[in-house]
Amino acid sequence: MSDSKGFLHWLFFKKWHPVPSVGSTIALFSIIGVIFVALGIVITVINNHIQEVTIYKYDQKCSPVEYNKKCSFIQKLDNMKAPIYFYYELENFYQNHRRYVKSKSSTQLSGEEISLSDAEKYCDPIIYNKDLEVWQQDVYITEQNIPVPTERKPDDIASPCGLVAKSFFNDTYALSLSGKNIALNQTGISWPNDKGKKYKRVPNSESTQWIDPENEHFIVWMRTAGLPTFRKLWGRIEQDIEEGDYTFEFQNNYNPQMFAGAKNIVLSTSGPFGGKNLFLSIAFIVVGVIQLLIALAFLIKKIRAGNSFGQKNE
Amino acid sequence: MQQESRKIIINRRDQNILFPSNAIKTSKYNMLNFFPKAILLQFMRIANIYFLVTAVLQSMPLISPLAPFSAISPLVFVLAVSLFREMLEDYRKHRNDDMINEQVALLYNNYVFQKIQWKEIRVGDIVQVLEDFTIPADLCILRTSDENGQCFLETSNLDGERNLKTKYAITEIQEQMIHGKFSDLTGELQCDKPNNRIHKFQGMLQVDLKQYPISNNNILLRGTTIKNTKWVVGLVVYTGHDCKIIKSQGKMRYKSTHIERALNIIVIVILILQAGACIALSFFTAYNYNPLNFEGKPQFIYIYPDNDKNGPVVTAVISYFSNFLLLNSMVPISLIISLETLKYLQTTWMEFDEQMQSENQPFRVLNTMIHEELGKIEYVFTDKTGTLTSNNMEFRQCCIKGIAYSNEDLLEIFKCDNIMNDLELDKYINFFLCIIICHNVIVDEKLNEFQGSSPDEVALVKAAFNHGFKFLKRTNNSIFIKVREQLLVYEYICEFEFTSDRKRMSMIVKDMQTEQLLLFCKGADNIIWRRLDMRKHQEQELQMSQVSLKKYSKEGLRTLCLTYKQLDEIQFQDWQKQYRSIQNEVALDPEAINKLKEHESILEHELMLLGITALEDKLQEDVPEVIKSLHDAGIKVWMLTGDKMETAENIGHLCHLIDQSTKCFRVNQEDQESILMRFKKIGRSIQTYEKITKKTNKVKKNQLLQQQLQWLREQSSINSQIRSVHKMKINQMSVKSEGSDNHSQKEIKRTFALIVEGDSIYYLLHSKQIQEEFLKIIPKCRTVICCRSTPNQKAEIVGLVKKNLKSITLAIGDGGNDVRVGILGKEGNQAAMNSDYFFCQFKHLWRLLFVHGRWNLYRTSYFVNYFFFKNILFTFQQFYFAFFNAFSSQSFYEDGYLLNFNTLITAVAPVYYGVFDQDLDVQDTYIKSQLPRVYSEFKYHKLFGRRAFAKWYVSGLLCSALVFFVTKQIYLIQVNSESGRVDGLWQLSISCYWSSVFIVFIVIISDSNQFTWITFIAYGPLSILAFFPVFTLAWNEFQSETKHYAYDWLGNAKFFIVIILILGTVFIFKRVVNIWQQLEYPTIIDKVRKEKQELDQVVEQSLPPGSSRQELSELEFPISIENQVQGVYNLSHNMGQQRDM
Repeated sequence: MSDSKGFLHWLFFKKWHPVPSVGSTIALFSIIGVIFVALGIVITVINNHIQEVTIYKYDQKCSPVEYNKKCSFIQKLDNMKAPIYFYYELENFYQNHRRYVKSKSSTQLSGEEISLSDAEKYCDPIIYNKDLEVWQQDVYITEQNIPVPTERKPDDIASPCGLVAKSFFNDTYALSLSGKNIALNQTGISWPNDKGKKYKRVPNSESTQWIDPENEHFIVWMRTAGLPTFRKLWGRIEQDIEEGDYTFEFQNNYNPQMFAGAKNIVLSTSGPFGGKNLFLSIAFIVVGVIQLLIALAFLIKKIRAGNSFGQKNE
Repeated sequence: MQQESRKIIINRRDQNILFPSNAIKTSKYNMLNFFPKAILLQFMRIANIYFLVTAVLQSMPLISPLAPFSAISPLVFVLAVSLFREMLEDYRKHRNDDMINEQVALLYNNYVFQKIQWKEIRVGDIVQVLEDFTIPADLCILRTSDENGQCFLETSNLDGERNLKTKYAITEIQEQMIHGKFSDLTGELQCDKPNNRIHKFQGMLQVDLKQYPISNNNILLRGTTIKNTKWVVGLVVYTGHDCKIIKSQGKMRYKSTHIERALNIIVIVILILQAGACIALSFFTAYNYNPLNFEGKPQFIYIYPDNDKNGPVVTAVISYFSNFLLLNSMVPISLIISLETLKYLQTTWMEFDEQMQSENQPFRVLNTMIHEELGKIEYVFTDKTGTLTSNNMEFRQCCIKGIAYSNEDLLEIFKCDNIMNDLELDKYINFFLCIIICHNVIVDEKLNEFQGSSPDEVALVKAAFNHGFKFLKRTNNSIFIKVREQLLVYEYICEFEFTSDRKRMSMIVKDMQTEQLLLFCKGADNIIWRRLDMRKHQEQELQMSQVSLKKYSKEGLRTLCLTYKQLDEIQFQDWQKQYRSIQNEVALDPEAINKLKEHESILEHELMLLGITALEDKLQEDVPEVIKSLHDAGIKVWMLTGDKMETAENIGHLCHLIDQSTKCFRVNQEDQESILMRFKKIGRSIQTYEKITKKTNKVKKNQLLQQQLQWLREQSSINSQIRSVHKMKINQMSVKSEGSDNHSQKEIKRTFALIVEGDSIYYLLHSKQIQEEFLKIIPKCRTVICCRSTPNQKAEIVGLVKKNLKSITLAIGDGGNDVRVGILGKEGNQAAMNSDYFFCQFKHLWRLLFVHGRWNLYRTSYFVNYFFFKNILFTFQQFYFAFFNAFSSQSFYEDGYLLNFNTLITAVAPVYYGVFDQDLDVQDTYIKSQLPRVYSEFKYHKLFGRRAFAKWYVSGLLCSALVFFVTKQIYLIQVNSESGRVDGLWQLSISCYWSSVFIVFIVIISDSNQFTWITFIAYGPLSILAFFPVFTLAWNEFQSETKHYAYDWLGNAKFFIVIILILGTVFIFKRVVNIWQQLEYPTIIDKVRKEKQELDQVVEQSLPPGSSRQELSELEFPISIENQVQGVYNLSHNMGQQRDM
């Protein structure tokens, strides 16, 4: 091209033309295949160590089923190693609905006042206190999740406003074994970046807000789920539990008929890859095995056909 | 056509005010109207209207699933870029206009010439132009500094010709003005309305009740430059935008390429699909509003208020538009902008190519939009003179009075002195007098050389000069020549110029020594022969001349017949009187021009033959090589020439258009019936030939296989020198590869050539029946030569093929076409300036087609396919997600991520591929020799069409389903770490987004054929690293919705493991498909690569220890095309020897 053999020449004209060959494919597939299968096995092992108990439709376990009442049931549990995570799970609740996801004001949640126009823009259709649920209108829920009765004007802008806040899940739980209470740690259940940064209470929170935005259950609720069936972390049991019949006591506030679904309790331990999920490990093993099989097929074909593999003879 | 004419009153500005000023304005805007006008112009484009509609929909919170800025910002971006470009362009135009308009001219006013600016010049003004200055407006010459009223002109601005042209003042006016004053000049000029014919002018100047016809010879066009003349004074005829140079500036015709046409259909199909998807989704929305209760109460009371006014129907309609916005990127509107950018960059890169330039002559691309057409050319139409040949004429031979002489013979003859008195030499003298009198060559006194628009004439005058006949000067009415030391003067009376219809030129002069009127005429032999006076010639002389003519044309020489005639003084004056009156008539009525021509030809009868000249026009470098490659690539080559059949056929042999295997069919019948019969017969014989060839080849093929096996057995025992191994290996390979492509040299191959002559072409163009037969034959003919065709016929033939065969054609030389390639040459560059590409040598066509054309075709095809792939991969996840969010048209991606997917993150890599990827190393000698074979592949194997597109579309669908469903399944519960915390919607979305982005990268990386350091930069820092960490972390600080969330995801092992799983799956899928295709359905490219590898291995093995590959590269590859070219040159050398004998 040119006589100049400078840096630019080298930069532009030093070329590689990699042509994928059968040999390199066999090698590559074998290596990746082995890695994938190994990963799959590791994940399976980890997965098998995770214990998970689901109590379906726990609200149905009391009879008669009444809401805004305390209720309890007994559930047999196996040995579990700490930490054990206490989740509530909702089925068929669309936290990812367009209108729902949009309906909140990040400004307001981060502790700033918003104008009426902003409230209308971001929080529609829940703008004023009067748009909230009846139980939310004259209550202040503290950071420790304790409702305190308060007076508020119905025509003030609701704080926090919006559909997500309004539909706040407010069941509470307690766990005991033969009368001995088992502590449920409810701190540290939200993401570190949320509390105090994205969610901040205003100075006179008690009189203007119906819930403290730094309430961790609230923060957990506000991180909207991606799929219609989802779990939310409610508490942490920081001691190993033994086999036995445990009493679950709960305040049955949240009515699943509202979303035509169900509410469940899940107790689960966790691993480096989170909760129990067989799919990930199976997927790795399947993909890995397929790769190894392809590598083997190519190898057999190559040995059989000798050197002329890949040349179509007529 | 406007019939009216323009009437200009000399020197009276007040009566010429209706004509426009001399200012030119190419700019579109001014300060005030820039914004409204430019924006309005932008919205004339469909794409921008689409953008606007999207933006409007998006800014309605009710409808929009996204923040308004994500729609408005692309619109603003596109508009800003376009406006900025417009502004720059217009600013440049303004400055250009000002520079032109403010040049200084000299205006005659009150007896002196005053300085004024160009823009102040008006029609009817009298202006002076000095030597080396540019003419400010179209002028009619009134006076020049030369006493004979001559001036010289360089017209390179107008038509690219560098040689000087002579223009004249009207003799009478010149005389009058030498003594009188310009201010006394009163009268008017009547002429055509402004038009774009730069070689035509007709007018009538009326001064003091006397009329003078004005022709093109008296006109100086704006933009040309005065040379070798101190000054010229002229009358302004056309100003400003009426000037011929501006009128003749053609507008670039928009050409759409096959990819664009296919793209349009695909876009429409996808738009329909998209509309279907939107309708389906909005139906589901309505259903989901409340599946049980259609009275209008919403199902989700935690979402819709109890008193929701909208109801299911309105919600569905809103949902339709929301979904429309979400699925918008199924037809990526940014594709249009990206394609334009891509092609602009391709152009720049092509123009950089040093190998497309030679002798510092540039390679230029004037139409940036049609590069991919170069990779699919099926027909090449080429001119002969100046395109295949170098247009560098050399006087070789001549035939005087029936006796043939070579140039050397003549030198011998003229050795003796005092030839003027030698009667025997009289015939030679007349022969050369004709050469040096009857021509349009001028002498450039500064450079001391001959210049003229016709290289033939220059070559002849030069040859005469070498034999002692010197042309000195031509003035307005005399011609000065010098024969040996004797100065002779001829009075110039008139000239009938050469046109492609007349094919002859005549000049009438008066010998001042003998007072004799002479007519010299030279032209094409068939025209001249009819006009010879048969009685006065000896039959033998004519026969001998004919023999020489045949011989010359067989050798591919250009012939001209020279004749003269003595005119009778009285008869001539009669004739001249009539001629003048017809000339006057023509000035008023241009239709009468034919009458003038008829009258001219009255004199061109009963001519005496002086002799025949034969000029050699050398072939350009590498022409046979290029033509052979074109044939190998399956491209049909047509040569369109004005030459005789024999000459044309011979040139055809020389250029390898016709070789030993070619069966030539000649069509030179002259009536409709027999031409039709001829074509039918040709059709039948082609069929017969094809059958026979097929049969013999079957037999031969079997023998060949046996031979190959035999050879292979022998070969294994041979371990001789590298060179021989080399040779055999390649031979073996070419046998093997060509055997499968039906190209084998050892097989009988039959190719057909059609040679059609001028009169037959006429019928071909005018009879439907003949056309039909013709069109049946030509797809089978590798070569077609049209001889004796006029430029007009050439254009019509090209049109005929293009229209009826629906093939992509390329015309090199001139003529309108899909792709026009101009060649800078001696015969004027006007054609080059109107072409799509131009370069200076025919041989560059090889690289233009086989390298750049093919590259750009596959690159652009890949670019478009890939663009759709990545958008389908990206957009369809929105569609799947709708099934998990109650069809609420929630966007799966956050605004910022959605917006930047196409415009930022995945933008660089495909553009890089589209400009720089190279599938074969064309520097390699072996691969170079195989490029024509590779080129032919794209004819059958469509890179961009419904099938290829469907393949990409389906893989896009598969990948998007894989990404979405696998990710969704893994994140069913979004507990991803030991902390037990639960993540939300955006974590799911980001995981899919990362997978999609990396799939997009991994696909393009595994499809890249070439890696240089630039590739690593384009794919590394500019793509992958730009996405992560730069974009990811930067956006993490801006976005309110997911602000700082990235830290949660990035600290999570599962997040990466999921992406690795998905990428691994896509990668094996891709790799297996690639390998499978390569092994089981190898393309020619794959085969060539394989052969190259094997070749390298053989070379490596047979290298003696200690020697390096470097040494090897110095060895010649035995199959290089040069060998064949040498053969051709040998052929021409042999001919030269024959000639000498």
